[in-house]
Amino acid sequence: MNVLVIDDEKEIREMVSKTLEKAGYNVTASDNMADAQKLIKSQQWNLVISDIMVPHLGGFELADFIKENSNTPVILMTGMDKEVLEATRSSADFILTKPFTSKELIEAIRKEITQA
Amino acid sequence: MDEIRVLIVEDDEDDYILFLDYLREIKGKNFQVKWISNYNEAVKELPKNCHDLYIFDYLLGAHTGLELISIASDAGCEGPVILLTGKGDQLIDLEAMRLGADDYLIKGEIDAEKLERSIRYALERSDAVKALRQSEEKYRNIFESSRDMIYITDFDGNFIDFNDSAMRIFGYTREEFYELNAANLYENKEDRRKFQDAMQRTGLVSDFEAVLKDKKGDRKLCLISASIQKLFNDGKIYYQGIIHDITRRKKVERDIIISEKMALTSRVVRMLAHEVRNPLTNINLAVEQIEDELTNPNYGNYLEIIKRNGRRINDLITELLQSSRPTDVSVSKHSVNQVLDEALNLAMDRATLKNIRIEKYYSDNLCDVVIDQEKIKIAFLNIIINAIEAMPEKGGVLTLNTLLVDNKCVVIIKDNGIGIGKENIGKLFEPYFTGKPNGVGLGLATTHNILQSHKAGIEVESEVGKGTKFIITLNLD
Repeated sequence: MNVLVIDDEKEIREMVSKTLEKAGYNVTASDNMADAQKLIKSQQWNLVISDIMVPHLGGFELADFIKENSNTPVILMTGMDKEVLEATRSSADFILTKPFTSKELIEAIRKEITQA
Repeated sequence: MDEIRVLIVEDDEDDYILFLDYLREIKGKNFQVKWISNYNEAVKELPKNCHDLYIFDYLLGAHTGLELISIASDAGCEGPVILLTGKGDQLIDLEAMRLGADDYLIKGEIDAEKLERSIRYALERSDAVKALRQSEEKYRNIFESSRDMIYITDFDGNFIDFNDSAMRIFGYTREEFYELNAANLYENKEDRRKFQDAMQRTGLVSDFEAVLKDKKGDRKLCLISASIQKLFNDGKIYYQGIIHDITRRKKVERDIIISEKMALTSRVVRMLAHEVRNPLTNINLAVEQIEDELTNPNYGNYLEIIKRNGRRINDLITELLQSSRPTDVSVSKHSVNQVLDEALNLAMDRATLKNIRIEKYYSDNLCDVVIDQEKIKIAFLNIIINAIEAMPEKGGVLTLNTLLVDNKCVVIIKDNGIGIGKENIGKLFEPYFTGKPNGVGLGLATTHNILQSHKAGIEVESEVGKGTKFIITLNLD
């Protein structure tokens, strides 16, 4: 299972990657949207998980970008209010609010991949 | 030269002609004379046209010139009247002056000079009276149409005169006001004493701020300006003053300040939430990594502490976010009594724990209110929780009251707890103001936020050691 992790904050990127690797996923991490978009175009992903606020391209736009060409599930991570975000139209499949536990992270990913 | 229109009522033609001659001799004046020779015609003529000057003979057949004075005055004619009397009719003279004649002349003693002087004085006096009346009307108008209460009291505070705004602001009738002493309007006797002190020391106060109470007992925040005056030539001192009701203005100001603070808070909190939740995520995930690899179970406790405190920080952030978010309401019709009961149920555990007695006085004939039920429930709940926390372990009574007042639904939540100090009442609804040791200061800010988005009102009355009363006013539609 190939998962792409996008976050401009190094520690989150590393912690999420490590947690997913431990759970048996094959993880690629990216710290910027330009690289991420290239990776999305050039490879098949089972799931993309990204922060909502990444410089140059927001998470919502990223989700739109992914959904244009594929039905790869997209999870967005955010420190904002879930209620507020859910009111916003989004093509993301799931919004994971920070802080989350490794259990919540893995469950969310497993669920989205199964449903895809 | 201005024309002076004169009406002469005189049944003796010779006298009239004599008069005409005298009038013509008066220099510098241009008289336009109309002559009427009998009473009945004069009665018909008087209401038709007003003249600048009236000369009435006292004896007019069966009638008298005195009667004509009243008719002219009833017709609204303000021109001065000179009465012609026979010799030695002293009583008539007095009566004539009493009825409003400006002068009298004794027939047979009249000459051009006397007539000229009499006319000149009469006209001058009449102009002065007219000017005074206009001036009085002008100020009477200001007095009557002022939105502020304008009043005169005697030195002891008994009301002597006041305008209609007094009745509008305070709800008393005119008669009730006369029975009332100014001191009765004050909520706080101390304020009255300060006012009296200042008046006696300096003779005037301006914009003295005091809480007054209307007939129903509702509080009015007022600015009082007053001065000591000698008004009626009776040697006594009177207070003349203006009471400006600023309750509404204060409320609006308060609401604006609170919403501005809310908006600022909301921005700060959103930023903060993001900045705090990222590191919390890292802490969570890192702790779980350690847990997985941990062999010594003794360290488990410490990890649990880290996780628990992480949760605590996040709970705080969540609470901040929720209460500082501008409230969008989705409204539908609900029974206020029911919503209040639901809010009470959520706090019932705490109330039971403190053995608090609950007294409900619900009005049955309350119409449904259009509200966001969940939000209003929270608004009520925050007040109820505060009430419960303010009350002692023994003898706490929480009173819930709903009633219909002036086509609005009023909810009163009252406790007999520790009360709120005067210095804190004004800050009560501000975000992050709290009187509780472990409070964040968002409960009542949230309540205020919710009520404001419903265009509902909230007022607090509190006395330290006696308890607190919240009065919420919801619109029926």
